[in-house]
Amino acid sequence: MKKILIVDDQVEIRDLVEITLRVSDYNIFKASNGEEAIEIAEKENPDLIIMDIMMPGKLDGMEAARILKNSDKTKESIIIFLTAKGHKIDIKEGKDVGAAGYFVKPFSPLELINKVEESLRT
Amino acid sequence: MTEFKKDVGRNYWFSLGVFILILIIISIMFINIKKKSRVDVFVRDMNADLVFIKDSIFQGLQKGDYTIVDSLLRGWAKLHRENILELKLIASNGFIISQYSNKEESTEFIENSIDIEYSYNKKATLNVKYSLTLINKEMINDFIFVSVLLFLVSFVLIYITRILVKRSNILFVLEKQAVELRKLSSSVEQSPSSIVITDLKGNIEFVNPKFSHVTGYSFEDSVGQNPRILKTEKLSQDDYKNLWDTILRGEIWRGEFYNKKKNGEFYWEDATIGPIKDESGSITNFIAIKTDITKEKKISEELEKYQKGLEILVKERTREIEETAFDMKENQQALMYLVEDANESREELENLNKKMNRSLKKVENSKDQIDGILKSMADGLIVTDFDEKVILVNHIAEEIFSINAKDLIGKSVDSFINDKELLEKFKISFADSETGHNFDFKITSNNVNLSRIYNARVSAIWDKNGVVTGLITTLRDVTTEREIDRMKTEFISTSAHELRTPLTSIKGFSEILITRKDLKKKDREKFMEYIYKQSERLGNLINDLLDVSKIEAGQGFILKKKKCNAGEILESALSSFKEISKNHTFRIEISDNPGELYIDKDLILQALSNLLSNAVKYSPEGCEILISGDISMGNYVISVYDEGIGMTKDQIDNIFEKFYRADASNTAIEGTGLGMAIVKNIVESHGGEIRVESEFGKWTLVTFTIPLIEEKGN
Repeated sequence: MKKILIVDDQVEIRDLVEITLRVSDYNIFKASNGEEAIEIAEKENPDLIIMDIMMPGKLDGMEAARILKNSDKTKESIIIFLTAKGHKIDIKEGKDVGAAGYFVKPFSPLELINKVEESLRT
Repeated sequence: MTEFKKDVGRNYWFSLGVFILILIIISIMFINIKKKSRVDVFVRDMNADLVFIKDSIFQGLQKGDYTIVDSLLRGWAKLHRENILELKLIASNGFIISQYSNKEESTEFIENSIDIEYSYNKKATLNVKYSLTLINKEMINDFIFVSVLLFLVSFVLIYITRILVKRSNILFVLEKQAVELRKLSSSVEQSPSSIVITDLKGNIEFVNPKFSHVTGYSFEDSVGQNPRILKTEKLSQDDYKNLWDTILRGEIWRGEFYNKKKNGEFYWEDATIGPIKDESGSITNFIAIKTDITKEKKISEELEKYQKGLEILVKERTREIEETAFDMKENQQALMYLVEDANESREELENLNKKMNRSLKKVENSKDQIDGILKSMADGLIVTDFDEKVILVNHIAEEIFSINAKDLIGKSVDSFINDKELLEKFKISFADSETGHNFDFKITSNNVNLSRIYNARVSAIWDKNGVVTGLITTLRDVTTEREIDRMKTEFISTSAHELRTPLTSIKGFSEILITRKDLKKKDREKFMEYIYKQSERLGNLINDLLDVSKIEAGQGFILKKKKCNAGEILESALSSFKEISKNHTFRIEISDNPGELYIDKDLILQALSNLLSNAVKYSPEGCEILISGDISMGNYVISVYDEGIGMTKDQIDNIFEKFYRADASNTAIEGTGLGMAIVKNIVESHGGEIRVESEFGKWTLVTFTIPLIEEKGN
């Protein structure tokens, strides 16, 4: 069973994403900020991480993603950004960090689940 | 020298004079003595002669025979009448016994008196006057003799004296000559000119040291030699002949020699050659006095050269001047006409001058005006010319760039803009000036908080022909504006972000409801509740945003004030909350009844609602929430107190920030983060103040005041 880590500071979004992913069986983990995300990622080694960017704390989603991608332990995890930051610059930055996908809120759960399944297939 | 001669001579002559005087005195004395002696002898002789008759006289006197006596005496007298002038024999009683007188004229005489005692107590005195003529005659001989002797002696003495004097003079002269000679010889020795003395044949007898110094031939080398040892070919045979002829004639020859030194070196000398004559006028030697003129010769040669050159130059110039003079004559005519015109112009010029002075005054006034304007400008100003060189910098610009205007006039902007990027921007603007280019730039100081942002706008200055003559750059401090812009942008982006969150849930859950057919009923209901709540939240957020945007727009809240009872307001606010939150206890404390508050009821209720909502949100169930009202110092003071989680100092400081959520970690608690900002604005719109106090983990107290205004005074 694939492991998916959901990272977002708002509980509604975490719940929404979790429900979205219910179509398949995934082992779901949740985190509410960047540091927590790294902690859980290092521990559980998820196959895929859905990462919000704008989160309180020392590390926002982008930084956390960078750290994860630079660490041998976690660089294999697929990262998909799910964020309100929708400027072209942000999208480019996200792609540069190595994200497999970038979704701008409000998002379509259908599109998200398609992307998730597609990414996990490869 | 003649004086001295006189002096010496005088001494001698004086001595001689004195000596001769002495001799004369001696002679005179001698003569007198001689005369006296002769007289004595004469008288003695006479007396002796008397002896012969003396007895007879004696007897005669004794007898008293005066006649005999008389005749005897007379006879004797006659006998010696040459010598006797008078004779008198006087008795003692005065009776003249005998008397004789020679008729001869009285000449020099001598009296002799003989007393004859012829008896006891009877005496006769014989007075005889002897003539000294004969003696005198004899004396003449003596006198002549002595005189002659004296003269002879004098002559001899004079002769001797003259010789002495002459000798001393000669000695003196000799001495003098010796001194002169010494002088002469040392001057010859030390002369700066070469001196050569030759004999008649021209053989050198003497050369002075200078000669040796110049020619290199020593004294020993030269004596006996002929000066032609120095000779070079420069002087011809004829010249030499001329020289010899001149000096042999006894005249002085002057000329120049080009000679050769002992060491072979050549030199020029100026020579004066003349004869030395003895007292008789015959030539004994020749003396040549020569001065080295090699240098002078050189100089004069060069001078000649220059002179020649100068002459040529002068000739040329003269010619040019002549030509010019001719032109000048022609121009003179034209000039005269010009002068006439000039006089006319002068009058015009004077008028122009007056006009100019008036214009100048105007310009000065304008300048003062401009200065005044520049000084009162709040923006920086840099004026540059078409070469991008600074013409003018006002004091604001000076402050912005920390420069001094006077240092910059005439220099380009490079001189005070060190930031390359900034300089680039300026340059681009200058180039682009016609389109009114503007750009921002930052001036950072050491204190980051004091950095300021300026907006530079460059526009062109045109003259009336449409040619760009310069550029004006205005510098406006836009720090606050940019800050506000930044805040606005931030606010908008944050707002948008906030809006997205509920929207995400709404869209997401909606899609799930639509697309998933296999949902459980329970889940469906749950999801629909989520959607509902989120859309409510969205609604609240939008309301709050609208409120805040009104505040931002400066509209604030339009207060619909009316009289209200404070107690009623508080009760009203509390009652709506009691319903909603049954988990908390609410207490109300109103100390005084203030009468009426003049407020916008709805807004105050909204504010109270926000505060109570926070109190409820952030205190655990079962806690008491206290709301109180009191009068203090002309204000009505309302406070909301809870014993909830409290806040840290940081949280208190930021609580009024828009979208600030003091406890964002617990995202279960809803909130837009705008509540407190809105409350603050409502309170301040009423002219009141709001304050938050808290102890982290223990309690929170929010207090705000509403000024009490008399209805009459409003």
